[in-house]
Amino acid sequence: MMDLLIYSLLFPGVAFSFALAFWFEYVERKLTAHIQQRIGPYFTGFKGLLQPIADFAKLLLKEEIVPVTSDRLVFVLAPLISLSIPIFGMCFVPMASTRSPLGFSGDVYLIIFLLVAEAFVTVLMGIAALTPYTLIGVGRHILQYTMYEGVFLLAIASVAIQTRSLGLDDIVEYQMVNGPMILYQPLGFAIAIISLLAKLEKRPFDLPHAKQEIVAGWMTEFSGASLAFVRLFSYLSMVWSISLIADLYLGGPTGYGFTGDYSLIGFAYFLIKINLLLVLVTVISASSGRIRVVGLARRFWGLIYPLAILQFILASMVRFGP
Amino acid sequence: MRLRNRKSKIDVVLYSLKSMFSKPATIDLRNSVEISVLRGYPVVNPDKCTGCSLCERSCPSNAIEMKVVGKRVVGGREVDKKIPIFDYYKCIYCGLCAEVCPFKAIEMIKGTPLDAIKFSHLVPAFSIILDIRLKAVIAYFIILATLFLIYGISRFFSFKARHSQAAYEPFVGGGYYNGRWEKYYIPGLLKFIFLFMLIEIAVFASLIYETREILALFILVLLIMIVLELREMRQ
Repeated sequence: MMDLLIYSLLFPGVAFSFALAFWFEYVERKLTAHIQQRIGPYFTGFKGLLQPIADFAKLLLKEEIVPVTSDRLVFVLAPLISLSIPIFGMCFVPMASTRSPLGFSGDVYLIIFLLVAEAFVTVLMGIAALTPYTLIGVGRHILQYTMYEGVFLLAIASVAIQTRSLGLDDIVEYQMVNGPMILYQPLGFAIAIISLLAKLEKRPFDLPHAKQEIVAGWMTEFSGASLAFVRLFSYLSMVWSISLIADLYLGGPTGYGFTGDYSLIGFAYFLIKINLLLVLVTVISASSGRIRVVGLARRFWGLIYPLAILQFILASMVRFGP
Repeated sequence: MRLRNRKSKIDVVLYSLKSMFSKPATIDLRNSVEISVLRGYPVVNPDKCTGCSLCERSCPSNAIEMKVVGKRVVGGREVDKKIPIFDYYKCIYCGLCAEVCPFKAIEMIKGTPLDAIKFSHLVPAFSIILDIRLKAVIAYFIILATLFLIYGISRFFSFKARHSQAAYEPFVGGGYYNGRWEKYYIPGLLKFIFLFMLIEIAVFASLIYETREILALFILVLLIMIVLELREMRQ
């Protein structure tokens, strides 16, 4: 029971995930600002390091106004449930050893379910307050979901097929022996990064909350503590999916000097890898403009889906071939 | 023997009458806790136990079974964690397992076998056997409860003010919007979700504890659902 409390509240759970989410928000804001020749967060803490925490606390202390036309229960509950999903997902990601705290054989299925649940809760948050802007945002989110989800699942399936396992622990162990998956499936890695951008609603694919078109999309009506949770949800989701990709394609905690046990060096490798992925995602999203809805469909169905299927066939050939 | 044999039938009747009104030689189990004759019943401390199975081998009545309850780390490798589960109906309450345990993980708790049998229904269900799937569910609810706590505290300390009615109207960008969400209402949706969750819980429980009661519960829930569906169809 004690270990459960530590898992869920301290190490991969609430405290650690929140800290990583704040760090990700800081890095993203700072890097985006530098790319756009601004300064970014500057005053709170060392070089503005505490700015995300200050923003979160400020929003928590503000008054929450629930619109009269909204479904009150869902409006209040959905942000809380949404926040719990990526934190729970972090418990299944191997970080410091080849084993994850709560992992079992076949936990890739659970991760797929959690990915679906994230999208579903986002829809719930949008339709809790039915206004024209949230409706358009939710519609665009569902449209985008139908495109990136299949691609992301095909990327995961390619990895699972080559490593012959459906547990993240076993996938990491395979990479400890045979080297990271990115060497075998560079195409799959690129596809996974693109669908990750669509999943996180980052710049080329930020249609669901496009600032200049539909006020804030599905999060237009949120205020106060709910807005704090919704904002944190997007960064927690980023932390979780980037950790997943680091485990699936870069080998997670594996590297030179890593033996498979719980060790600081494995954890350091993991942190370095997720930070590299964070910089990659931020540079791509900060240096590109938003595509149109038509362009989204053309790119995904015309280019990325065939590439994902090609990657899947290649992985199957590695698995079942001579 | 000879003396006894010589006794007449009357002596026997007298003796039996005498013993009928005297105190019994055996002691009532329920009142015997204070008397130091009783050794108590064995209970394992799962944190101290290393799963060496010495107690299982030493048990004279084969009342101990080692069961896998989770994982633990030994020398960096992850292995199954085993702890002894006592069958208190087979147990003869001799206390050998507690004596043999090198880590003092088994303790003889003061009490009668009756207490142990009462106790034995509760222990496996709540404190010791935590399936890995059940663990995941509990961890999720701990996370959710923490988030609720954060939200509740922030709502308690957040600023509150009086607003006009316009502040509570949703942002529609100057257009007209009546905000009726009833048009998205699906009849019977809440009932369906409730029954669906009941079935989910029953399936989950029957996966973890494969007992007859759980199976009966599962079938009962299915029957209720079928009856309700049939009523819906008739209307």
